Amino acid sequence: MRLFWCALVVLAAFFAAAPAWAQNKPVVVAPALKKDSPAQYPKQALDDGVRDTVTVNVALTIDATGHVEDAKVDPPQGHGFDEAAVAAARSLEFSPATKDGKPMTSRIKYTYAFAPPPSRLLGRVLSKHGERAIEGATVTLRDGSGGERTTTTDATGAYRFDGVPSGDYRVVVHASSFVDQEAPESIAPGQEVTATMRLAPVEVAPVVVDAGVRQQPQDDVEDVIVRGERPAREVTKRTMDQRELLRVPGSNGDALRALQNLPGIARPPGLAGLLIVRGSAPQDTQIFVDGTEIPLVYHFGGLSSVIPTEMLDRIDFYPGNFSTQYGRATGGIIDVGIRDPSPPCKDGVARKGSVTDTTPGATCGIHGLAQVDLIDARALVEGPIAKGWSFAAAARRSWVDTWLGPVLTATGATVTAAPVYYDWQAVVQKDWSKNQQFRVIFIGSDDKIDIITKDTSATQPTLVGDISLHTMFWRLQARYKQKIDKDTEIRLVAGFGEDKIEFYLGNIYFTLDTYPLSGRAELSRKLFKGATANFGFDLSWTPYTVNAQLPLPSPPGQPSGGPFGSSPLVSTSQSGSNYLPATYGELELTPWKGARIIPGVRLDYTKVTGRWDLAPRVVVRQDVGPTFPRTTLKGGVGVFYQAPLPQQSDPVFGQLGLRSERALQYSVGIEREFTKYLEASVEGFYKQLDDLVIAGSGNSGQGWVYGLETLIRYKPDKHFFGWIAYTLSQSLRKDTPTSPVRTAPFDQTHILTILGSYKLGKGWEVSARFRLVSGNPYTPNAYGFYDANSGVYLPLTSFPPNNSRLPLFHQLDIRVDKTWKFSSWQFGVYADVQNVYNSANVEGVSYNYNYTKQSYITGLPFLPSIGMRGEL
Amino acid sequence: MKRSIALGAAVIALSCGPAAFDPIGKIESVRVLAANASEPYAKPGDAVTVNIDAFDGRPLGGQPMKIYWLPILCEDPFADLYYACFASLVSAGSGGDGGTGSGGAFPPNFDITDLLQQGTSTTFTMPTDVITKHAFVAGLPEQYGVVFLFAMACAGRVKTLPIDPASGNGQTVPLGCFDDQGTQLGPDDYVFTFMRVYSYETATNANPEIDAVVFDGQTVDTNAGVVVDHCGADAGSCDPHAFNLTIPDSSWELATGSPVEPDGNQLHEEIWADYYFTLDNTQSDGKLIFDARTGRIDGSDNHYVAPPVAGAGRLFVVAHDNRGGASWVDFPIVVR
Repeated sequence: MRLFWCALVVLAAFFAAAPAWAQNKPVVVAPALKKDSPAQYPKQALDDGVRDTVTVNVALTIDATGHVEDAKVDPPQGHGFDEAAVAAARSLEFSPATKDGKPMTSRIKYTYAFAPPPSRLLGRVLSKHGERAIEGATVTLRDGSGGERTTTTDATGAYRFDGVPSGDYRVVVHASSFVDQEAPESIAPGQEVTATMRLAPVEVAPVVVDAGVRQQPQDDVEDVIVRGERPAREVTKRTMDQRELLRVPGSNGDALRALQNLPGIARPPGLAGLLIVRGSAPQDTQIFVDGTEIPLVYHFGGLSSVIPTEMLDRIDFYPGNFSTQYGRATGGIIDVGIRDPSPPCKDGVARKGSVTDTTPGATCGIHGLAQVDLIDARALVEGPIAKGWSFAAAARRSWVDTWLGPVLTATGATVTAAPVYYDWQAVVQKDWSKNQQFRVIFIGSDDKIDIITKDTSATQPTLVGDISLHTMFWRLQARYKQKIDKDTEIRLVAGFGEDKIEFYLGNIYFTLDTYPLSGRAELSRKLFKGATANFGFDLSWTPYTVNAQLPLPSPPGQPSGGPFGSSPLVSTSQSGSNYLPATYGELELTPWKGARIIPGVRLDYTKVTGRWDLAPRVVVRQDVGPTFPRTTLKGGVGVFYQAPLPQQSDPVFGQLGLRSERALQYSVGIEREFTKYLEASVEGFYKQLDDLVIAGSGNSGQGWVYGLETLIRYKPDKHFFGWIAYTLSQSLRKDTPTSPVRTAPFDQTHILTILGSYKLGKGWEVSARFRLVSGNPYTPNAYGFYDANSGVYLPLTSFPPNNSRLPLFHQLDIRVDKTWKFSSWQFGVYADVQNVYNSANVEGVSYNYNYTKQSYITGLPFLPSIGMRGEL
Repeated sequence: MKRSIALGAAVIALSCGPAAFDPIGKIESVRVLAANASEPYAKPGDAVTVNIDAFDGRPLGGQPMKIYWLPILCEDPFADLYYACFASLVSAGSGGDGGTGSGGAFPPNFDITDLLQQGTSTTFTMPTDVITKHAFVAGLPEQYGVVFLFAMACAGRVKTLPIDPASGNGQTVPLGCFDDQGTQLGPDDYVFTFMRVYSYETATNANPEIDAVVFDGQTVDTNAGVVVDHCGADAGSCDPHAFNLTIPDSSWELATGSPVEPDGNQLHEEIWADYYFTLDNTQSDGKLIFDARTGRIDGSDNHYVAPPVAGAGRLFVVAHDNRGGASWVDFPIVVR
């Protein structure tokens, strides 16, 4: 801490230069500083993330001996600055002020200027595959003007740079027998940045981790404790930490279910695995695995997602205004990354018993885990295959059927079957060099339920008998990435697979078998400083075979003409293919400090519509103020198209001559960091939906969605993480020009989620989630008519649809984890309790046979779930 | 594929039951239990007789229930929606279309009781152009026509009601049931019902045949009925009486167009039975008799649970197929 300047002397200068007419006035001499007492930049301020220079004014009362009698801060600055200034000021010593030569008590204003402590960069250099310390590695820190500082690592691989001025740097590491490694770092004033560098051996070239078909080039830096996040290319991209994904109560450790707690995603109805993003229909949001679309994200009833958390590298969630690399969706985008098969090591040493050698760069051994809970059981294994090759494989099977079926039978339920699901994932990866990587993944999911019910329903008598539903998909994906030179990179992704649906119910059936083939080629090139261009081409070609016999649906907005299956059934049996090519381009411009402007355009062709759809988009982000805490203003506007769904364009069940649905999306917001861990964001959005496909009316539909999303988030630290997410929104639809505006299904005005998790120590962690959400809209019914053909009453349906709302939803979920760590493995158990206080949340309305009485259908009651997990 | 998400959710959601209501089978009001046509799939030009099975189960009685047939034959309404016929019932002088072709008949608030045909059956002639007038529907094995008939079981007088243009979906009930003082009666005192009769050139459908009712293993004489002992105070300790319909295999007709599923199953009709009672309870409101794919269902017996006191009542059984065919039988039940 250094003193910046001191002592404003009251009246002294005036009297020293006084004119003759003032010579008869007393002579006053101001106090003079004899002993300085510097103040330290307070720890509290550092903990709060404050890194700016802060000045504190202190009013000092100095007695006739020159000692500080009193010190008062005005105005207070907080964060510990006031206390530090007062404590330091009390140790100051002065020559006392004098009046006509006699010492006297005086008051002066004294200013402390707190400058942040110098920044520091430290870390370790390890071998990439062995995680072993590399001694003697040269670490160079380069600033933007070409200045350099160099150090070497010690026996533990540690390095350290003290007194580093804030700014942007490149960290370059060189060690013999290893490939040089380089990574960017932004260092804020007073910040201690830790970066662990992992080097690949020369003979086994390093891996460039690519988490998707188009990500920012990722450097081989991990375990970064404090670092600036890469600038987003979208208005809003939400990511969740691994611990957050695993510990969110009510999600059973399922990452994709945990996603539903973020702003912009509505609460799905109980036991419905739906993703409702910013008021859009579930089918308007696309789900990708590393850039290849998959048809569903959840198993039956949303019990769990089709990819277990253990296989995930990341989940990128774009609620709107996403990049031109994504298209064919008017809602949101979820891109799930499968992680690289990286054999873990401990403290740089391969685990005991693993199949590994000890040479530099050698891979560690086989790693595995097994987990079982009331819903499913899963296992994962990963490890090396050969030099440069590694693998990971996982599988999961639900076993709800083995215990729920007997329970339902014992309770006398008329439906005694339970769903069965499987999923599987396999990854094989080859790393040639830092600039060249090839990977193949194989994933799949299978859900099946067979029910035989012999009792008919009073309202739907034909929904009886042998009911069977089977959904399945698999994808084989190959990905290749090469950095041609320092400014140019290509990425190729190809995927092939199968989607299957089989549904049988009485006279009704629907089977669909498709073999989607998708490909994407991208070129990214830095044009000049501050400008990078991305160009891509993607193609989806889907041969299909569909067989269906179904009743025709009622016209939109119209009450049903009878119970399901009461009208003549129509059938179709077709084979064909759908063809959706697209090309897109995007510029990433950084014209001035803190700015990022990304204009782009996407051109889609849809075989079904026979049209080209041009979708221009732009995203702007601007950092304001200091590097840390960062404040970013952001906004975006863009056009988004979505091709008609297969059932909408089917010549029997749908309509011909359709156009793609269109959405104009606008969003504007602000992000703000308060401390290293605490951040907040507010974003307003507006979506205008046009050309919505309405059964029997073509592209006559319109829609409007607007809202505000707020997130206050405390990122995981040693003990705690949590957030408060609040969304205020409204989603409206109008089916035809003459029909009234109605509330969209699943519209939820208020969505509040508060969650937090705290590590108690000794392996204990407790988490809680509370949700308060507006009830879903519904359409009330009343006594109406009797359909003599079917023997059921039909309701008099109120109008317009969705004109009433179910009661408020509120629920508290709690999760407790306990983990035991042993020398070579760890074991954990958890209890995940949903609806702790057994809130009778309403998920729907049920009526008696003639609609003269009604009652609420409530959701899940108090529901504990326990599980255990072993990890080797 | 996205469709599967919603379907999956729907199937799972079946297990989440709401609060229990009185069963549909318990008759405590004016009820229509079934209707059938002499030819559920009539040919153009055929004379068709439509019958209604109704019962007045109001415990306090009152003005007697009568069945009134509305004098319209609504052809080819918009999208086969029954309520698209309503405008023609009350629109005065406009000649109302609504797709009905019958024209406006009555002004609002008009007492039409004396103008209506009464009774449990009516006869009409299927229009010769009913199929050609119907909008073409892709994917059908054979094009069809359809007519709608309307009736009201009313314990009072029938008056027309104005259609509220603000109702939006055109579903406002066009008729009301009023007592002699002019007070509109509620759901216990009337049922407004409709029936569709389809017309095909070649496709046929017959009403399910009921050969017999078997009660406690014995064929029931439907005139004499059955006699059972009353249960004790604890109904749970009382043995229920198994009963079922005897429906011949010949009633399990091929579905329209003889469709075959992708896995090779030949699809037939679904046939189920609905049960109604005036004296205590049956264990199920309805039982599947024939599944569309697997045929006759084993264990389709229903069970009658006698009340704890003696009494007399009726038990009604209606056999439906999923193409509009229906047959019924009822018999007295005496509890000793």
